[in-house]
Amino acid sequence: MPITTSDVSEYLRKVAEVLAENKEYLTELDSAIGDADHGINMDRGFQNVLRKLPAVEDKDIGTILKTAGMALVSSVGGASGPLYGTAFMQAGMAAAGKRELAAEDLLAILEAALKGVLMRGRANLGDKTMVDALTPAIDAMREALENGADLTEALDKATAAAEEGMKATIPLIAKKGRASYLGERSIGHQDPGATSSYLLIRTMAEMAHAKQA
Amino acid sequence: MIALVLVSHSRQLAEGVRELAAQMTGGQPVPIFAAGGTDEGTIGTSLDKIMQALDQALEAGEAAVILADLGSAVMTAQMAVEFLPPEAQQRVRLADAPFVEGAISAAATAAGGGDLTAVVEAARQAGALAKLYEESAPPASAEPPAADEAVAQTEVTIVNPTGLHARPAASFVQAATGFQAEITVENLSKGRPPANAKSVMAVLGQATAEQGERIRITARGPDAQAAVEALRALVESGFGELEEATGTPQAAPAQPDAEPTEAAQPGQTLRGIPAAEGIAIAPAWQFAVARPRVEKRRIAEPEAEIARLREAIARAKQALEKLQADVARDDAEAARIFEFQRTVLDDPAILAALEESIRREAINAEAAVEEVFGEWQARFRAMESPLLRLRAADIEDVSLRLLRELSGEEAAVALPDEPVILIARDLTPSDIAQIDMARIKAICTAGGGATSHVAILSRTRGLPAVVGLGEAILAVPTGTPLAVDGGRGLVVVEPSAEVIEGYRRRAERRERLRSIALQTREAAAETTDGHRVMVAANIGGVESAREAVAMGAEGVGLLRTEFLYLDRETLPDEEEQVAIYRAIAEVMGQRPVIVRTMDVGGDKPLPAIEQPPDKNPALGVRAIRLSRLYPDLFLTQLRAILRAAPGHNLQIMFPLITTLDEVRWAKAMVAEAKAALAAEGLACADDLPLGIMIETPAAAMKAEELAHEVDFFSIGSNDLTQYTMASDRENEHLRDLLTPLDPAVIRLIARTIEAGHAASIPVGLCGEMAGNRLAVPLLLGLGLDEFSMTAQSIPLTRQLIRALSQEEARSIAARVLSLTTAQEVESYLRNIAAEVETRLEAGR
Ligand SMILES: Nc1ncnc2c1ncn2[C@@H]1O[C@H](COP(=O)(O)OP(=O)(O)O)[C@@H](O)[C@H]1O
Ligand SMILES: [Mg+2]
Repeated sequence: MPITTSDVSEYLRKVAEVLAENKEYLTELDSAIGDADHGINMDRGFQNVLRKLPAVEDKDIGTILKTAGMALVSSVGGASGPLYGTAFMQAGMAAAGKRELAAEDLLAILEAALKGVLMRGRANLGDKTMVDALTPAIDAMREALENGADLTEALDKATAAAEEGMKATIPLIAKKGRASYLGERSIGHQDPGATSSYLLIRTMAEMAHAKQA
Repeated sequence: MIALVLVSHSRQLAEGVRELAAQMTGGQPVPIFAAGGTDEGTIGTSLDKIMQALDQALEAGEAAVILADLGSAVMTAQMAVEFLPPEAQQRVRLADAPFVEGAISAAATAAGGGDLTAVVEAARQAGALAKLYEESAPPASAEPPAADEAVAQTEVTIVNPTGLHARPAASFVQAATGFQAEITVENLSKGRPPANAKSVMAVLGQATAEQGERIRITARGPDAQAAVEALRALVESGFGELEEATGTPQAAPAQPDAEPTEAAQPGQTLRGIPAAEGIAIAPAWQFAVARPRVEKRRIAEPEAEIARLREAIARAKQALEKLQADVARDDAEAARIFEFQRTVLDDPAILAALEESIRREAINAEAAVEEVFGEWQARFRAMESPLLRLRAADIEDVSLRLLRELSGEEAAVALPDEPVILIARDLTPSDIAQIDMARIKAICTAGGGATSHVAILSRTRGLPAVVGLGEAILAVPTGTPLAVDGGRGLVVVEPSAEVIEGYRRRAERRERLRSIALQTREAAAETTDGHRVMVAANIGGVESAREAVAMGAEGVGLLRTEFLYLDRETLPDEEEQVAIYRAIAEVMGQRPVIVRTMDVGGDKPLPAIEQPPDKNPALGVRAIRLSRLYPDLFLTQLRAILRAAPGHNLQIMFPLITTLDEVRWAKAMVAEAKAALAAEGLACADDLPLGIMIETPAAAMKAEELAHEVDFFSIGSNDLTQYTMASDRENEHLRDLLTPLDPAVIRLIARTIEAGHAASIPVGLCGEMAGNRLAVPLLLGLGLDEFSMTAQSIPLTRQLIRALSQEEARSIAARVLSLTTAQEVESYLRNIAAEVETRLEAGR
């Protein structure tokens, strides 16, 4: 069953919900190695996405994603604003004109999103950023799809990889973002951006399960 | 102009850096926009704000450079740029630079007219420069700096046209010397290493800077912060540079070795730089000061020799001070020339070099002077900047002075009896002070520029002068006939009969008019139909008061009191002022003397007080505005004038009035001064006439109301022209706009006179216009009551007035008021002047 425009809108609403629930948690993570606002930022950003959503819900997936991206950049305020904003906007470009997505399309979209993050933030793997969660997640998804897995399975694999990548940020020294100013003191803390990325992937998997049922 | 956009997570930071960067622009309108904080005002960046700032920046500037404080600000800014239309994207660059230093550096470069690449590069390098400083910090004291030792640093752009050179460098060093901190200055634009800011030689040797270049001042020591601030303020104020701003420094011609010397041919015309107007025909006279012959001797006791040198230096300094004071009595501006020379004698680097060479080589002081100064002179001559090369003459002058002091010889200059045209490679101020100018008809120099000493001093002495003539002029043998046209910068060698005839006719005509005028100088300035006006002098001291009387001034229309305040570290006290005002009043006898209260501040800063920095001195805190800021200073001056007045005819005039309120305030201050004097039992005049200068369009437009407040008006045509035409007097590019003959200025003058007369108060005019032969008939026709000018112009002006009828003048004025352009006015008045002069010559 392909992913439809309403699935995408619903996904965005779900993400908003999840981020609202994890607001404190993300902020707490950011307070250890940043400026204690990542949860607040993400929540604010997605609340803004919710406000913009109704106007474009009947449009194609590309438009919806681009609108979400715009809503993020113009409201988040922190680094995650332009990063996730770019991610969603690039994703939107990859989905331009589409009203339905197959599993491969979703992969392509996620790859475009990651490319956007890399282009914007110039982070390398291991810099203790959201990239450390997103990269293995997408790799895992690709691999699963190549091995004939279906969307739900592939997203489960992606979620597991994201979680692993997220946890793997704990011993790392931050090389990008505010945390990088802490140097060695950033060791021992999980990266908030990697955590929110994991949540975004996980929400996708949860939706796939719900749809399958 | 390149605009800047400052993107920060913090609104305050963005604003603060904007302010900081704006200070670097030296008054240039660099558009800087701050985009800080989120839309809610919290910490973060706002795409919206950035986009808005970008829009404004691209509107205001030809292109925009973005600086951002943290990575995420960079990212948001990048997105903002991506949202711009492609055409606009081309005009935006993000600078990968430290936020604060980058912004400051970018602003300075933008102010200097740098293009997009230059500004981005300047910002980028600011980071490298900051590091550079840490690695190669200026060699501080031998001891390691105390942990609590303060270090302060600033970067500033040189705004004055001459740059950080001779006189500015001297005042810079003087200011630096006043602080305990170790101070260095470096030219960032040229990338030179830091120089000791307390040594004028070091500064001139490696830290000179041209207008628009950036320097960095670093101070370490207890008063580091204050030092850096004071020096920055000095640089930003343009070093109080006045006369040098009146023209572009012109390059001296190439150095001798670069230009083969050819003897001038008969009839050949040499072209130089016009330095002072006037025509002269006379034989050449090569001036060469005999340089005392110096023999190098071994000496047994270096310490005794050093003591002898120190004494000679002390005497030389005294002599210079005296010379400076003498010249200053007449011309405070010109006197500043000596400032640099004095600083050279105070220079630690020079002194150390002198003493070291005496000690090390065990040689006599004379030989050391020759060696050390010779070296510096050579260094200066080899400098890129023409202005600096000019200063080589100063160094030569100082060394000669020292040699003379050491040998006890007097410099003797024997001039021929006949008047001559003086020729020299370059004349030093002390040469000029020694020469009997009465026997000189003109001055021609090989070196020098429009701002050289010769130029300045000959202008003040009314001698025609041409400078920068190159070596050719030095090859002209003494006795060769020469014709000099100072206004056009021409020197004709062995002029043909026709040339002589032409020059002579022009010179004679001027001379004839002048002598007729001088003969009739006692005659009243009365028109042929019996209308009387007053012809008065603008003076600036006792000397010029005497000259005014000699030239037949009926009074003083403007006594400039600035000379009392400028160029000195302390303020003149009441007694000193009373004495000077009295001395002047005595020279003038019962003639009226209008004392203008201090017209300082702005571009004439007072060393003795702290002034608010003015980005735009002409529009800043000067004249009455400064008086309001420093009422005590003002009160002291008023008290002094009031006390000097009994038995004389003194009047008080307030400069730069723009509002009624200022006039009322000034009058209240006079009342206060009177009351205080009465209470102290000091004699003072009770009913001094009080007047104001009408020199702003605001005052001219309100002349009707202002007339009811005061006893007289005096139109300051120079400032009135500058303000009406919105053209800086110091800006040579605006010369064409800066004419008092523009209909706008004339109409304001007409209006002022009319308003004054309606209120039955007299109206004078005390700018250059009053003595301008084109303007006199017009002003007479407009009904001006008093013409006040430099004493030299009085005879001719009075004569002109006597040749006109009031009726004729009125119709001239009516005609002029109907004209619409300055060119029309000028050509019409030129015809009138020619006609009147012909009439004059024929008539008598
Ligand atoms: N250059 C970058 N590339 C990728 N991710 C980054 C970069 N800089 C920061 N991040 C991510 O953004 C997260 C912080 O987001 P947030 O707290 O919203 O922004 P800020 O650091 O500006 O307060 C970090 O945990 C990190 O995962
Ligand atoms: Mg944060």
